[in-house]
Amino acid sequence: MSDQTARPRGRFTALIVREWGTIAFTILAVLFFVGSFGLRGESGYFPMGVSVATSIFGIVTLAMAYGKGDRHEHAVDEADRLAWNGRTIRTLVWFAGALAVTYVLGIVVGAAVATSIYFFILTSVRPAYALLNGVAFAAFIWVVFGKAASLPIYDGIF
Amino acid sequence: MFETFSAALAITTTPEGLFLIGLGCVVAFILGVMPGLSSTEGMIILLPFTFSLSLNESMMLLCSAYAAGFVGGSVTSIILGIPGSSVNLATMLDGHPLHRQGRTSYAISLVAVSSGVGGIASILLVIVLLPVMQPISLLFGPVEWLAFVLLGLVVLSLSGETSMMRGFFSAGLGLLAGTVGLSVVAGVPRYTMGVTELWGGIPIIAAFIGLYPIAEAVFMAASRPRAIGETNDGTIQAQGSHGRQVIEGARDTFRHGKTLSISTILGWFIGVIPGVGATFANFMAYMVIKGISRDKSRFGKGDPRGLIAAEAANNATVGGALIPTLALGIPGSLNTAILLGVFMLNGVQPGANIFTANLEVTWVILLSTVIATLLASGMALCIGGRAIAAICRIQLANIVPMIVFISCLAVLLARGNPFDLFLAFGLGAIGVLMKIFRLSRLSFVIALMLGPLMESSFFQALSLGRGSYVIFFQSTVAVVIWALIVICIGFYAASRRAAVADGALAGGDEK
Repeated sequence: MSDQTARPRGRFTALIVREWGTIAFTILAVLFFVGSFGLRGESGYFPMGVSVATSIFGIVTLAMAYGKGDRHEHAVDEADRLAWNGRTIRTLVWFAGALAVTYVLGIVVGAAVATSIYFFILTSVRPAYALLNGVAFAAFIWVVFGKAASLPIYDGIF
Repeated sequence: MFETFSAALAITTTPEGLFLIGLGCVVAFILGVMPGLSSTEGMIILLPFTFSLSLNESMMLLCSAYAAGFVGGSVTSIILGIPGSSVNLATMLDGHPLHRQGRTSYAISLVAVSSGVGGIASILLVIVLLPVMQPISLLFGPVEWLAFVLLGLVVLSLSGETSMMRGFFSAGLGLLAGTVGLSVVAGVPRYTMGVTELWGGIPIIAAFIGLYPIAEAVFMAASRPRAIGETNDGTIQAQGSHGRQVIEGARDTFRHGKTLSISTILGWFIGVIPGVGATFANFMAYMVIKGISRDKSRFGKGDPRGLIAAEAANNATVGGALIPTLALGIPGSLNTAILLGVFMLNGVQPGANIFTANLEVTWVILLSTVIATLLASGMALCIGGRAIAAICRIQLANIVPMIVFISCLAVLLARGNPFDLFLAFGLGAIGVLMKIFRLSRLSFVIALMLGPLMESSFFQALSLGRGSYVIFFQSTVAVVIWALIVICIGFYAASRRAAVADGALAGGDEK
């Protein structure tokens, strides 16, 4: 159903909902412009010029999206769509946890633990099988990267 | 030149060299077979291995992965009717019907031989042009280089993943990200917010890894299990033996020599243009060959010319893409951006010195690409349908841990700084947002990589012109490039307006 006759305020709100990411990046470009004033001498010229151009491109992009109204509701490729469901949320939580575990325990043990958690939570595999996957993955990394390349892969906080 | 060629030939044909080329080939071929993955993921997975290798060894590993990934994806397109990656879309149109007719080995033979010929011919073209490239690269001073980089970013934005304005916006964001760190002009920290780890700027490896594999891993992990059909439901009868079909395919490839030549040359030229990669070449060659053929009735039903055109063109882009990368240091795709990143990490700046002090590395790149193309073509002929189906049954979500941790290793090994890991994941979040809001990550990454060099060229040019901006329009080469930029934008705007007027598109924002 076309919202060409929708009140401007409705279309504006719809634009913010659809393009909040583009708006955030445009604001970021404007912040770079503001920040360039605090830079000494010639170091500010290039970021100033680029941030002005980038902000204009961002505003024009948003203006074009606003002008199209509901015609902007194109068919988004499945690959570009991130479905916000339980699986996605668990994935993102796993990412954050994997990063923290790897940083704290070191890449080898961290990889084993994080991989086990992944297989257990995200793929609904039995805990023993998940742990086996994690240990195998850690062993793979140790053999290939540690033994073969003598690389420092045990670094962590501990 | 002959001495460096001999030295490079000796390096690439040692057991260690052949092992590295073979490894790159196998990894990229297998990943290319898996729908949704390509040679780019293969190169990223192999990236951590390169940090303990010399530049020659790194190039052998990465260039073989670059060349082999295209061939793997085409086999999936033929057998399963699913494009292995975007560069194999047109391959599917005539490849899968041939499989349904029981001529699978014939189709794979067409692909293997035309890929091999297209890839090797494109490298030979580069070799022939090598003596010419050095004088041309010497014509490029700071003004010309700045103009050419802008041309590359404009062309990337016009022909890339999203609309023109979003492409420009993404490139602008990348240039801004490139200003983070110590200023190339005044040496003062910019936008570092007091974080000393950012004084060196945003590391390019962390940017690659964050924006591509880590961002893609989020989508992969959240993806639904993919149902892959059987390769043969029992109703497909092979038409003749495997060996006979292979020979017939090889013979027919050369019988359609005109198709092979036109597609190879078209693919090579498309590869030279930054941003216009193998995906475009694959389809463009198919449409051109179909357009000039008298008998079009078999296209889409198993016409060998369709397969030959698509595969020769997409492999020919490999040689073409190496021209701006090696001669001018301007990558036209993520694959060549990764190669350029490894060059920079090893302290080698592409440009005129690639043809003088570093000519041996150039020969190593070209020779390893040739060997890898031959190897990948051979693998395509030997691998069976069952093996393909088995590889394709691996769900993308299940390889996420491997991709994430190898990516973490690549980031950690690049600078040995754990801060880079957090930066990579932060950029991963940005990559997810960019994909959702249809902003071009490729434009961002290439602008990030080239931004500091652009800025220093800009100020070098200004000092040559004693502060006058007229210097940017005094060189003939630069004026031609500025004119090309205006023509490209004008042509794009005119074609979009015509398409909208014809009702072909609902709006001008999306491709």
